[in-house]
Amino acid sequence: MMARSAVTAPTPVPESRTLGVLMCAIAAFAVLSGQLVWLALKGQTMPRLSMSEPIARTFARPDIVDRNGRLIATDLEAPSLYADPAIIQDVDEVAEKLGTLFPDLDQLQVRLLLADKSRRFVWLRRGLSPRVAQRVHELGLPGLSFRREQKRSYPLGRLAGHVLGAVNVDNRGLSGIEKFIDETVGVEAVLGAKPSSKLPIQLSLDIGVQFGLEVELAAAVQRYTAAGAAGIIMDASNGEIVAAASLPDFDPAMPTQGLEPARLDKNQASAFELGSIVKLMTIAQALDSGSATPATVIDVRAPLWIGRHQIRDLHPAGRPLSVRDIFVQSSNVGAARLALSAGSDRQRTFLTRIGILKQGSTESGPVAAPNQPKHWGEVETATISFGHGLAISPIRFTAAAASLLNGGLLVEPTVLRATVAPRPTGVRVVSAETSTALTDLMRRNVTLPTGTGRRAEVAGYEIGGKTGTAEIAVDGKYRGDLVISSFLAAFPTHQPRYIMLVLLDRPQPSPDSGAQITAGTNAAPTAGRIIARIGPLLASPTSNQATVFDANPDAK
Amino acid sequence: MRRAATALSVFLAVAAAVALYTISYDTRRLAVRVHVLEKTAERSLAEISAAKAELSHLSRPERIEPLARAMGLHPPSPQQFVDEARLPRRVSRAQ
Repeated sequence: MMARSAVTAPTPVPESRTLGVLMCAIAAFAVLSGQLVWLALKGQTMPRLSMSEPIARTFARPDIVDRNGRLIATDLEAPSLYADPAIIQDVDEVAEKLGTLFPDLDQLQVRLLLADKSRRFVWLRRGLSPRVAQRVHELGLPGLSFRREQKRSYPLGRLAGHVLGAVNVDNRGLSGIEKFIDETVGVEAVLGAKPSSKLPIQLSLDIGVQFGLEVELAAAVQRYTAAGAAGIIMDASNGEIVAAASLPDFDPAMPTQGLEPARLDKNQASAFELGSIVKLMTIAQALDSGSATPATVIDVRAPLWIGRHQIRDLHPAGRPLSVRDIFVQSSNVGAARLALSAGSDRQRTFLTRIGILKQGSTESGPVAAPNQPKHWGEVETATISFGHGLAISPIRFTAAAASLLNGGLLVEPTVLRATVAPRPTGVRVVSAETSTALTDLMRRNVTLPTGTGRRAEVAGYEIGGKTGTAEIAVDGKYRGDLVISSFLAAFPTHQPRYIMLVLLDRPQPSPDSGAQITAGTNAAPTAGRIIARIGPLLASPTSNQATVFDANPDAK
Repeated sequence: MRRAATALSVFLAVAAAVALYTISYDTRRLAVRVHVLEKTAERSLAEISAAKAELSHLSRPERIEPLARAMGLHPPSPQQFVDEARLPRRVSRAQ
């Protein structure tokens, strides 16, 4: 352009202007050089790491809190060890030195992984503690490095393990509530240690009650040399599970424990023949249909014969019993007669109505399906009336009992607090009068000297209950020495707020149980101990209020 | 006139360049600051969740119970509860 203007208009350029332009150019170059020097001096301090997402991705999970907001599970940052095989110089050295820190490391596999020089990223060990990470760092091996990841941690240890479930190495839910979170609330895929932005999941569990239940159950397992135990405490008004424990317990930090059959969740993943506690349902059906009242007298003197099968009582009364006494003295013959007078179809319809035969799941996983007889005939109707021939999951049974005793409204078991999950259906399963009558029977069974549940009594909590001792069938034959002993409790009985089921798996005779294995001698006192312990956390005692404050000087 | 116009446009060009560079540098600086703040926030969140986990771990019933029992505490018995209606009224006592 300048050349062109020089041809068309050859005017001389003033020297000062040339100088000015030159100075500008020099200044501009000086700025550029300065910038270069500055950049060179500043240097690059942060090495950048690039890797493909599928390898390094983990999942951030929302916290889990109990009904009072106490933390049960959270994500914590933890260093994870990875290797860049391309940089590793001596594969054997790395494998051997790591082997000193991680004795369980699969040496052969590590060698194979590290030998593949085409790879740039191989996980070696995830979710390390800071101390172990420091030790690896101190080995000073090139090619090893750490990434910070989210790792699920359970600050309360094994508490409520079965409800919580577990997560895998990528922090994805495998079972229990953790799986529920993945499926409904969702987890966020993150790179590195980014905490979840989701609100905590509030469970219906109460940590204090849960602990009391677990400790007392563990003590009962010891005391009665039982193979295991289970317990559920449910809010009768809405089906919220306040505590649920199954022993042997399950540590959410050790997911492989979940595969051991003994550690299966007895409350939800197993179904048992529950024995006499099922009489509550039989009598509920009789009372609600109007075919009997608590005062109706039934002849239970002789054993009942159905074809070749004989049904008899453990301690025959020797006289006709009222429905009330059939419940309190736990008469099999009486329950069977009540059930037979209504018939198989009505029994099945009633059990379906109160949810016992229902399949399905709670938020903490699928519920074991009831094990129903193939042919539901007269014999089956008779045995089911006192809890044999039909295996039920304890959680379903507890929910059904809650529906019968809360005034008669159906509840669904849930482990989530009301704010999250939908609530009672409002479906009436029995009349309010039936419900009150049942509660009265439960209370009598604990207070009367003839009651099988009298050892569950704790002053002040108005406990009502029913015992159940169910023999376990081994190879198709019932064994008298192997039983599931259970106790169904409701308290306070003037308006049942909590329903509790305690179950002892194969208890042995012990000095505490008077060398017996019936539920009245082991499950009932265990239930009493649990309520004495957790009662103050749930409700203030109602009766037996001592005259502490009556010492009013003016009143004298 | 032309010289003035040229000078003005050169001045404007330089001013615009300076302004552009300033803004661009400021943006970059701010971006760095945002990044640093984000990292700090993330760190703080992680520390908070670690502190919460620690609190929960230290206040777990399994640990508190023996401590409380050692101090002579025990679960309240029904005798320690009283119905509100049965409490003596202060007012009547004062009279």
